[in-house]
Amino acid sequence: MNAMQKKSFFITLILLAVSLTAVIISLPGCKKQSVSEDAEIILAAGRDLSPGYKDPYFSTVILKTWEPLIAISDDGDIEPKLALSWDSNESRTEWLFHLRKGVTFQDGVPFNAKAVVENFKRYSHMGYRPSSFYGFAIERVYPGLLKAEAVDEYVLKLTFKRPVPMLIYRMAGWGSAMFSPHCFNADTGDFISTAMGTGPFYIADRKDNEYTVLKRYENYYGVKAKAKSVRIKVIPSPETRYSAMKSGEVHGVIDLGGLTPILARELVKDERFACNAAKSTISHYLTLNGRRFPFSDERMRIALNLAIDREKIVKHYFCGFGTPTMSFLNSTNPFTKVYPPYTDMEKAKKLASDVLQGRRQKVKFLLHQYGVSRYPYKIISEFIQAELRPLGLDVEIVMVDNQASRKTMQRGEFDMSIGTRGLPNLDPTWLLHEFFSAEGGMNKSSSFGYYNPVIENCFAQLDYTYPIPERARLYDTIIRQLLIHPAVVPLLEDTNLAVYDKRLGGYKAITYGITLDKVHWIRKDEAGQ
Amino acid sequence: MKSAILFSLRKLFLLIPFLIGITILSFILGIIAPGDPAIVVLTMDGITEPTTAELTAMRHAMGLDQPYWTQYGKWLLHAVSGDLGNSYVTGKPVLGELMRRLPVTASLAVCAMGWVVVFGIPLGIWSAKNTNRGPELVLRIFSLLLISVPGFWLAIILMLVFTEELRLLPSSGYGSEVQMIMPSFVLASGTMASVLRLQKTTVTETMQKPFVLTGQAKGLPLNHIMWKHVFPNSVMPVITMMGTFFGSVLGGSVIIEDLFSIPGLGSYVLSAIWSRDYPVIQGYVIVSGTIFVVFNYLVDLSYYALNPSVRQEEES
Repeated sequence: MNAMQKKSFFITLILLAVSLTAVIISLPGCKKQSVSEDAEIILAAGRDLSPGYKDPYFSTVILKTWEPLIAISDDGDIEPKLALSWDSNESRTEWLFHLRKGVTFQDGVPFNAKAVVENFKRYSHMGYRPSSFYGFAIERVYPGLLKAEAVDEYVLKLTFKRPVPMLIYRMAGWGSAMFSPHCFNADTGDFISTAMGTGPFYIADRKDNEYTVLKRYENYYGVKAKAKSVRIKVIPSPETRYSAMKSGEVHGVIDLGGLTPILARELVKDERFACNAAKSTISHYLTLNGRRFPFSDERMRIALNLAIDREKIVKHYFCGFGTPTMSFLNSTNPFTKVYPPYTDMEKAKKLASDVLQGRRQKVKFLLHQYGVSRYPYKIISEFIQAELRPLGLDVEIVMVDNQASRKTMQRGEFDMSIGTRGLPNLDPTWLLHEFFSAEGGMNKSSSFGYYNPVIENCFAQLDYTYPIPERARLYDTIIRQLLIHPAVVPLLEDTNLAVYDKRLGGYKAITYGITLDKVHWIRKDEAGQ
Repeated sequence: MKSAILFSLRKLFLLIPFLIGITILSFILGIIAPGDPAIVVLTMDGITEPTTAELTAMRHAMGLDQPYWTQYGKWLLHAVSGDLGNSYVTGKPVLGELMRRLPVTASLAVCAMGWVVVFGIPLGIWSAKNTNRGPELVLRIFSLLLISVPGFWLAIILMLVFTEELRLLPSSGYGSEVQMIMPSFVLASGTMASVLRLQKTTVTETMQKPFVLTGQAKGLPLNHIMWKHVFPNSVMPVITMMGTFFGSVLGGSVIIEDLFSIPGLGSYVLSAIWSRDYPVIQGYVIVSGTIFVVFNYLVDLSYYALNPSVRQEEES
């Protein structure tokens, strides 16, 4: 190649680069858009929030496209929604629900007792329906349901084989989602068209694992949504969600784990963004194998509870977004009490030394892939590894995929593990029973090997104790027993983070999701105020 | 002509046992791997612990209570008739989902291939002609860098520069040309650099062959010798590499798809593996396996067309 040819080669390359840049800049999607009041708000989520036809709810409750008969309020309590009031007979086997009048589904079908009965038909025919949110099985929410009937146009009657004193708490949230009877097949439980609920938004468009477009439902019976249109983009990688926020492609994140606390902290360093937090129903805890030494000895379980500094975990690995706790039941539940944690290393050492008799003990810390990909579990496990060394415990961390982890735990071939727990509704009975009753599914499958006669007695009493205050006392007894005789090590309660562009107003984290119906572009005059 | 048809048919028939073999292998691996799909489905929400009755009912509904050979035989029979079953997790038909995602991954692969062809091959030839000169040394270091740098890291750096700072390219998504620039470049980067280096080596070697000297002695222009004689003789190993690359993109773009939120095959099969969603895994294996072997088949045919020694061997 002579000098002339070389020159022309480089000139061609430069021209190519310049034209490519020019093309890129001219393409749509790269330009900054001016924001009008009705402009689409784009939010990012790590997973598909409207999985569609086979899902029991079609979309998550946080999109506010559907509403339940009884909801969970922003602060985690019972809230009348499509059912305004209710009452039951003394034996809690018959329940009457007085429904809200003047409500129509998004497809124009009126909401009344007949529509609710159709929804109950769907519940009873679809069997156990899995979901990445909360699986639905009629027997779990409405145990022993004999009949759902319309007493009159706006009164629903549910009849049960046996008493269901906690029915209202079970129905709250995911347990009583209502959809237009025209959009599902009551015999199979599948949706036959886009789900139409009664919420302030309806699903205008969606593409599996790509996006969901919500539009304001103009005939909503309550306060209408402030935003005209919201697009939820699925962006699985948290780093990419962060980049998308920085570049202005998305205006906020939604759903649990939308941004990790560390990324959220980084993002709010940029003055264009803001962040707020609310308690979530998610708790993190350590599982201990109570079937083998050393955690078969209760003193060692107590030692762990006393040794682990939960404050440090929250401060360093959750950037302060979390609440350290010693109580197993999440504080968003109306039946729990907050028991702040404390550490006593000297007492912990003494207890551990009594158990180990001066020897050192190897323990296997099982770390599952799901948790590691979503939470800072790896670094927390290393922190715990260091914390337990003075107790004479040499922790070996083993990382495995979810299924392998499950099998290993079932076989009891581990000593400790870290996990998360959410609450699908407000009734703590089932959750506590699953974990701490000798017959509980989780107690068995996770090798807790836990048996506490006081707790067993409480469960027995719960079977025939109907007044809520008396039941609350029994739940509290169980929680207190777990503090004295621990089975697991509660670490912290997670928070729901709402990170958003400051040009948006009304963006607030709540127990489940954000205040989506209040989110809007701030008007110039509003911004001035 | 007859030998060409025979060559292509013989290669084609060899593909069938290969495809059946890989489905059997993936089925066996699925069985060996720890985990029960029924439990996965019943515990998807992370809070439900199924009872034995629920588990038995779910296993029956999924057909997992049947002997392994029955499960495989049924699947194969249905697969032959174009039914790859439904996903255990989503309940949606596997074939439909694969067909929806295949064009996404294919377009990503084509774009990546574009980078390789447009930059890898010409720059390789240019490097061979300018060995040990300043710009070539810079290009050599740059290509080494591209080979060494992990894809996810490069993706994050590109996002930082082009998305966060310059705001020229979108961070994620699928549907427009501009959304494909970064992911396809990241996907192609390693192979582009490898092709560049391979092309340079093969051109350098070919340029030392006697026929090049003869051409030069006859007074043929260098460009003519390069494009007419050196290039066809040096491009064969590069074509092989690119054929393998295109096939490997189908399963190897998982991280790129995840980072750039591209709803392709990689991300689909990864979640299927985590959740032991056998119908999806099997469907993916058969579809990607077919594409992979078809590409290799096309590479074989291109060998036949481009390389006279292969033709001679076949005819003899």
